[in-house]
Amino acid sequence: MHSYRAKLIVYTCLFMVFLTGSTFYSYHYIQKVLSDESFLHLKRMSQVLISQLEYKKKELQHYCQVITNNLQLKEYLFIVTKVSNDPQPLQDMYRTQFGELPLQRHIIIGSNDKIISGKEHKDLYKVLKDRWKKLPANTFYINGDKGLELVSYHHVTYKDELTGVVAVSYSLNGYWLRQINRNTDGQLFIDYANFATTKLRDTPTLASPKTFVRNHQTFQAIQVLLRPAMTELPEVWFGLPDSDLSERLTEHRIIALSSMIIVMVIILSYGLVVIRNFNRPLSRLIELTREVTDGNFPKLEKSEKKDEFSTLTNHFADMLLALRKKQDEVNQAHAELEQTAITDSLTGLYNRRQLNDVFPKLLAQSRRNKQTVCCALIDLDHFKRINDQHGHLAGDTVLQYFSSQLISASRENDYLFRMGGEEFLILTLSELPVGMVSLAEKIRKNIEQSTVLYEDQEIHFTISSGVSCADPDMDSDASIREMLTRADTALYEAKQKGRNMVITKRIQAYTLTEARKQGQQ
Amino acid sequence: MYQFTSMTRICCVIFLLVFSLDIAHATDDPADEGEIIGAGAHFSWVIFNTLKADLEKKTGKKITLYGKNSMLGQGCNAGIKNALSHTHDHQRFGFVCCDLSEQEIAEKHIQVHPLALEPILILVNKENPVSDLSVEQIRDIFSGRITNWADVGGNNEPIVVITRLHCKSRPGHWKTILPSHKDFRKERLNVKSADDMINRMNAFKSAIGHIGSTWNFGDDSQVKAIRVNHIEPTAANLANGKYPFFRKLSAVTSLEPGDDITKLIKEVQTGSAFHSLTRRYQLLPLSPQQN
Repeated sequence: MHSYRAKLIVYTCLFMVFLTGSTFYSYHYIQKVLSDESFLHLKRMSQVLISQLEYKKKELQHYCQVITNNLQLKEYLFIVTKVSNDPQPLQDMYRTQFGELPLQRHIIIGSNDKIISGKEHKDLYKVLKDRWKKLPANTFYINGDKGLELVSYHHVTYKDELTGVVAVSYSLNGYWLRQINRNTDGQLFIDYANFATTKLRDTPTLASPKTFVRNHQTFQAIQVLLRPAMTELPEVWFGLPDSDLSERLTEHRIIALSSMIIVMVIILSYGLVVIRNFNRPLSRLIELTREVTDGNFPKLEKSEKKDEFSTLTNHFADMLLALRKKQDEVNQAHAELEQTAITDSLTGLYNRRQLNDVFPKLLAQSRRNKQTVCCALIDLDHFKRINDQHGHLAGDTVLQYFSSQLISASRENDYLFRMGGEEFLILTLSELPVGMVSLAEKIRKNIEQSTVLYEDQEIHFTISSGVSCADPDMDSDASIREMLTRADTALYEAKQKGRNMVITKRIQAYTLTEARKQGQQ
Repeated sequence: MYQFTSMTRICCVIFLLVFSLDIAHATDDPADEGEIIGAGAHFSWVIFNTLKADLEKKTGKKITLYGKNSMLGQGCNAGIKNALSHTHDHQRFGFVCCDLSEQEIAEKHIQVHPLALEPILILVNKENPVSDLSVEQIRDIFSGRITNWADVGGNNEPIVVITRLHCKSRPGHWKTILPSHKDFRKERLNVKSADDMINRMNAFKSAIGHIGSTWNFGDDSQVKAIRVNHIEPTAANLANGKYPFFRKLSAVTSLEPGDDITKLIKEVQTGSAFHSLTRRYQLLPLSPQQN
C-alpha cells in the first residue's frame, strides 16, 4: 500500500467502518436509553398511580370521618348498642344520610362486636373483628369477597364512650381502574392467580418487571405494593403499553439506518471525488515528471482552483515554462556552441573538424547515388603579405570577403570549409567532377577581379586551387586522406607554377568496384 | 398673632363634640332604626312569631324574630343577651322558655314579663301502644329505673330515653320531670334541639321524650303525647295543677325597654290574638304580675 490513493481508500473504508460502528453503537445505546427511559416513565406513572391510591385512601378516610362524626349516627349507635337492640333506625338513618356516598360497602359494628349494619359483609367483619379496637382509625387493603378493596374504619364515640366502629370501603373495580387508565395512560393488572408472597408485616420487596398482554397489546408492568394490607392480596401490576416504546425504537432504527446509509453514500461519493481529484493531478504530475526526466517539457495548462494540487500544478506549469525557456536557451546555446564547434568564427564557414563529419556522409551518398565527391582546396596567395602590409584586421576582412565570395559562388549542396589560416575547401557531390573545376575557376576569376576595401585601402589578392575527387572504394578516412593529399599536391603545384590558377589531380567519376557493391548490398 | 378668646375655645369644643356625636350616629346601621328585634328560645318564639303581624300593626314597627328551633345554649341565653343589648335606637328584647331565678334577674339587670305556662308533653312513638303513664312511671323511666316498655304495659322493648336538658341552672321546665340532669338515666340521648328530639322520636319506635306543647308536629310526625296520670296536657289541667310537667314562657327586657317593646309585650300578654294562640297550644296565660 504505497500509493496515497490506496491509503485514501483505506482511510475512507476505515472511516465508514467507524461510522457504521458508531451508528450501531448509538442505536444500541439509544435503545438502552429508551428502554431505561421507558422503565423510568413506567416508574413515574406508577408513582402517579400510588399517589392516586393515597388520594383515594384520604378520601375514604374523610368519608369515614364524616360518617362517624355525624351526631345523629353517634346518638343512634349509642342507643342501639346501649339501650335498644333494634338496628333499624340506625340502618334507615345511615341509608338516608350516607347512602349516596360513593362507597362500595359499609359495616357498623357495635362496641359489643356485633354487626349492627352490613351483616352481609362477613368477610369485612372477619377482618375488623379482632383489629378495630386496637386502633381508633385505620385504612388498609383487603382481598374480600368483592375482590380488592380499600377499607377505612373509625371509632364512634358518644360522650367520650366508645360505642362502635364504622368501616367503609372502595372497590378497586372496573370504574376505578378505568379512571386510573385515563389519568396515567396505563393499565392496572390484578393477578388473582398470584398472591403476594410476602407476609403482611414484612418489608415489601418488588418483583421484577413483567409483561402482560391485553387486547392484543403488550404492556410492560411493574408491581405495585398495596400497603397496609390486612389479608393476602393478589399481585397488582401497573403497566404501560409497549407500543409506544416499540414505535419509538422502530422509528429510531429507521432514522439511524437511513442516516447511516445516506452518510455512507455521501462519504463514498465524496471519497471517490476526493480520490479522483487527488489522483488525477498527481498522476498528471507524475507523468509530467517522467516526461521532464525524459527531457521533455510539455505545456501544462494552469488551473483556476485554489487547492493544494492546483497550486502545485500551477507551480509545476511555471517550472515547466521556465525549464522550456532554459531548454530553449540551452538548445540555442548548444546550437551556437555546436555552430561554433563546427564553424569558423571569422568566416562562418565550416571548420576542418566538420569535414570529418560531412565527408563520410557525402561518400556514402555518392555510393548510393552513383555520384562523385570532389573537393577544391583553395589558398589565398601571399596572404601573409596582406597581413604585414595592412594589418591582421585587414587580413580578416580579406578572409571574410573571400568567404562571402565563396558562399555566393557556390551551390546549395556545396560544403565550404575554412581549413585554417587562408586555406579553404569546397566539397561537393556531383555526377560530373569537372563541375568542381569550373567552380574553382570561376571563383578564381572573381577574386582576381575584385578589390577589398579596408579603411580606405584597396586590397587586391588572388587564390590558388587544387581540385581532386574521392575514391569511393576506399573507406572514408582513407578516401578523404587520399583526396586531400591529391588536392594539396595540386595546390602546391599551382603555387609552384605561379599561383592564381586551378590545378586538378585525378578528377574522374569514380564508380564502385564490384566488391564494393557486394559489400554495400 | 391671633389671640384665642375664651368664647372661641368654648365654641370649638362644642363644635367638636357635636361633630363626634354626629360621626357616632353616622356609623349606626340605618336599617336597625325603626325595627324591633326579638330573639330567644323556640317555644316562646312561636308565640311572638304567630302574633308578629298583629304586633307590627300595633307598634307600627317592623319586628324581626330569631329563635326558631333554637339549639341548646342559644335559646334562653340568646334571649337575655338580646334584651340587654337594647338601646333607644336599637330596640331589643328576648324571650325565654325557662323560669329565671331572682338571683339571675338581679344579676343581669333584666325584667321578666311572664307570658304563659306551657305544658311539657311526654312523647312516645305512635307505634308504642302505651298512651298513659303515671308520674312515677315517667320519672322511673327517665331516671332509668324502668328500662323496658313491658314493665309499663307496653311491648317488650328496651326504652330509648331522649331528653333535651337545656338551661340546667334554671328552675322549672324539664326539672318538673326530674330535678337534676344527674337524675336522668345515663344511657339516654340528649339532643340539642326540639327538632332533633322529634327526629329521634320518629326513628326509635321505643323512644320516650319530652317537648313543649307549642311544637308544630306536622302531618308526618310519628310521635304522640301521652297522658300523665290519665291527665291530658291542657291549659285547664295546668291551671288546676293536675298536669305536673310545664314551663314558663316569658319575655325578657332590659330594665328600661322603651315604649314600643313595653307595648308589644303588653299586647302579647293581654291581646286577644295571644289568647287565641294559647287556646291552640294549650298555654295557660300568665298575668303580668305572675313573675
